[in-house]
Amino acid sequence: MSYEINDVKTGINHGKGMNYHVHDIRAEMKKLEEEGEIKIAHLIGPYKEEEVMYGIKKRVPLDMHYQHKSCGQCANLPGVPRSNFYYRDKLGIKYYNDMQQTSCTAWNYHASGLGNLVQLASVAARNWHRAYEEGYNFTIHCVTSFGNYLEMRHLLVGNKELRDSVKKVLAKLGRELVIPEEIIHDSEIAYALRDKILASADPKRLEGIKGLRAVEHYGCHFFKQVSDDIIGGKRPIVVGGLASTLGVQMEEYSKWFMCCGFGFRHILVNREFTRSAQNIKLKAIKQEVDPDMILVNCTGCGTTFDKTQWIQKVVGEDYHYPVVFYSQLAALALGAHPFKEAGLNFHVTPVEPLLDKMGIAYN
Amino acid sequence: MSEETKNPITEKIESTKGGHFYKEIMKDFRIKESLHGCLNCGTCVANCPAAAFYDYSPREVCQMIIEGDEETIEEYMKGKIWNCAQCYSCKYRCPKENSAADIVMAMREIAVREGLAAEALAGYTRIAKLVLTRGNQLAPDMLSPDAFPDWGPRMIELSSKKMEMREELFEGFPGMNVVDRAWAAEDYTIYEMQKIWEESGALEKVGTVFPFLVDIVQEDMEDKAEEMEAKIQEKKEKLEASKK
Ligand code: SF4
Ligand code: SF4
Repeated sequence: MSYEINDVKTGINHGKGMNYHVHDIRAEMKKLEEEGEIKIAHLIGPYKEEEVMYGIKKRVPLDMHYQHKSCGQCANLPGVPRSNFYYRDKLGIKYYNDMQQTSCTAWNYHASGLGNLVQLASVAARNWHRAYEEGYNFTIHCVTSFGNYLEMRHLLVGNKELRDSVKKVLAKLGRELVIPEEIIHDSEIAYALRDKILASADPKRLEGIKGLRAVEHYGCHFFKQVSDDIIGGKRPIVVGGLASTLGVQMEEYSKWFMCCGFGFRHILVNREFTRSAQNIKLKAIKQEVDPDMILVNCTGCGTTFDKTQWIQKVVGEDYHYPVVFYSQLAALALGAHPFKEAGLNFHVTPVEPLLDKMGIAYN
Repeated sequence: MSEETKNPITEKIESTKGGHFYKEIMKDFRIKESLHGCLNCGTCVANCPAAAFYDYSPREVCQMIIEGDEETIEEYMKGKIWNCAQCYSCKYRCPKENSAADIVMAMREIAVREGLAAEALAGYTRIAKLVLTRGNQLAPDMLSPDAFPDWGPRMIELSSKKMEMREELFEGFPGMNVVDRAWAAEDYTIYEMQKIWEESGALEKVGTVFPFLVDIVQEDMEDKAEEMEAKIQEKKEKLEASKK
């Protein structure tokens, strides 16, 4: 496969100290690869190009997906990884659910400051290497991991000292530094496959989805931590893009940008902050839209939105918005059982009214 | 960011300001990328969820590093840095592309290293232990209703039925239906993770907050060492052979 590089695009500051220019990290990676500094895990199989900031093309692999899982999802919202597997099974996409992977440990890092950059980057590189040695494209379920891997790629490409330290650690494990050509979140894949999902969907299910009103919320680490490699440019589009393809009517609300209040440590030890931030978001959603559901792509946000509605009764609010992940929506469209295959029964904000409206039986 | 990049702003401050914490912070290479001068415009504050509820400000974070004011830095190191939600809204919105989020992260690392984080990390033991002994950060077992009473009545129901529910959901997906960790990572994988923490110096840092955890991890590693190191040796040889 040939490898086209979109080089320097335009003349604005792009976080490069005082050097005012935009760079595409892929060009820098290619340079390092030529110098023998790093290896790149090039994409395997077919891909679809989607535009990120400055018109740079991100290549989304459409097959051979290494499933880098989310510990928060597996523990707390297990319907999400199950739905991720489900839509791949339905579309005939080969994937690998590896038990030799670890958490990215970025939740721990951002919450506690335990760990350090060499540790964080080595954990990233070890997981990348697993996909590489098994012959799969590295794809990511969790937004915390996604933001972290974008950042680790950025730091590893930009800083030789870090690179050398990480290489030393990896050598002690019999591994080497292989950086994926693309850092891809699962919601980007579902978006790239939107037409295929629509074409394979159950017409009855589509009938139920049509006209549902939804708002979307994206994880901060999906688009704010490293914001130049996000499909759609500065504001993400993948969740709403997939949903509207399936017939959902996406609605705008003024607080779309605001953090959900997860806060990494706050959800554990300072939940009064989490609840207060949630109330601001939920209030805007209720007053401005009053949707049928809130669509998300992030483990932390999904948890926060789902778990923090009930308690708002304390401040006299009654919120009841089912929280649905992009892949759960895709799985439902493709005919999944809402509980046994999409795991919506693991959510604590009741999903039953939504399923009733969609005409989907659940018991 | 590139290795040769010079940032005249951080360089100038570096050469003129003093203070122990300040010097430690400036050693982190991320700071150079996180400060490009500050307009004091407050855009970051307007977008900061922590500033909405706490006596905390990302503008102040950037200003205090530019000023090098040790007193304010100490105040942040000893408490205020833990208010930040690490949402990067400040970085996304700042017209100068500053990142208070990254500065705070560097400061949190230093706070742990310098033994200032004990209070902030009280209640964090279970997660730290899970990371270091299971290779995961979260387990279904940790989400008990008594730890999360504000998550409502459905949590109680879920908690009592989670085994059957997970069995049904993950039928045919080995390694997924576990409750003491997020998925059943292999022993060898956990050993690799522990080795990364040890080799990177991160384990030693854990010792400043949770010394008993370091003992647990080291004992665990010793028990497995012979078998696991043999596996690693095999891997090393394979890698060498592939290079030839
Ligand atoms: S947005 Fe940037 S320039 Fe404005 S006050 Fe905050 S750090 Fe300074
Ligand atoms: S990362 Fe921290 S400082 Fe920046 S906006 Fe979020 S909470 Fe505020």
